[in-house]
Amino acid sequence: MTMLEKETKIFESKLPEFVENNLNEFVVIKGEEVGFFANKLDAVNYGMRTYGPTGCFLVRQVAEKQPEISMPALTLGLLQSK
Amino acid sequence: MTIATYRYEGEGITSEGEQIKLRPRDILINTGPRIHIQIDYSDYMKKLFTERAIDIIESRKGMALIDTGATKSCIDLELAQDFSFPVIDEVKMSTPSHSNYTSPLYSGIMLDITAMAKKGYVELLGVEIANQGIDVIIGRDILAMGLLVYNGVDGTCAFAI
Repeated sequence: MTMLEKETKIFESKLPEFVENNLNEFVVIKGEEVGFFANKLDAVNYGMRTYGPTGCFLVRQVAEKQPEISMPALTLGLLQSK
Repeated sequence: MTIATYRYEGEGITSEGEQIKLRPRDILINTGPRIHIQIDYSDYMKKLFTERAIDIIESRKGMALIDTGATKSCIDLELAQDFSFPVIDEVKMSTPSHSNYTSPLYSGIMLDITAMAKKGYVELLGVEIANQGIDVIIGRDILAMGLLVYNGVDGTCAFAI
């Protein structure tokens, strides 16, 4: 189980509801707790203040599709990461 | 806008054991565009640490590789763990040697591009890159804030924010 597996599952299961009610806002999820913010910095600062500055909490923008991450140098093994 | 120009210098040894000065363009070909950086906590993190009487570690100098192929910038996993930066998301990744592992996305990071005296709040994906002699990969999310000029003929790289 990864650090944010539970929070990620909550985000994915509630995404249709979030999109309908909170589109483009930033959601903070920790355990079962869910909060919404107008911008990412406020969301992250809230998370650090509430769950600790070294904590682990999910922050994502509410959107139908999450941005794709592409790193060919790593994924093709050109830079030999883990 | 502040501009920093990096000219790459170094020495090598020929097969006959002779020490020679390498051409900047050859260094740039072999190492890629690398720039000096410094990693620190964001001001808000420092404030929270102070309020809660948590010890903070000193900022660290390091080396960053500019990678125009990467959508997201990265930090060496061990370095991020040393700082105990907060994890705010996870990204599934696959490499030729490891399939489907999860990389943490760290927040609360202040990245200082040393030569420009420019600091900025960033989020960086944790990956194991220290074995490549780099601490940070600067991807297109950070490059989006500035202007990058790669001069392969001259062996220089200029970055302006």
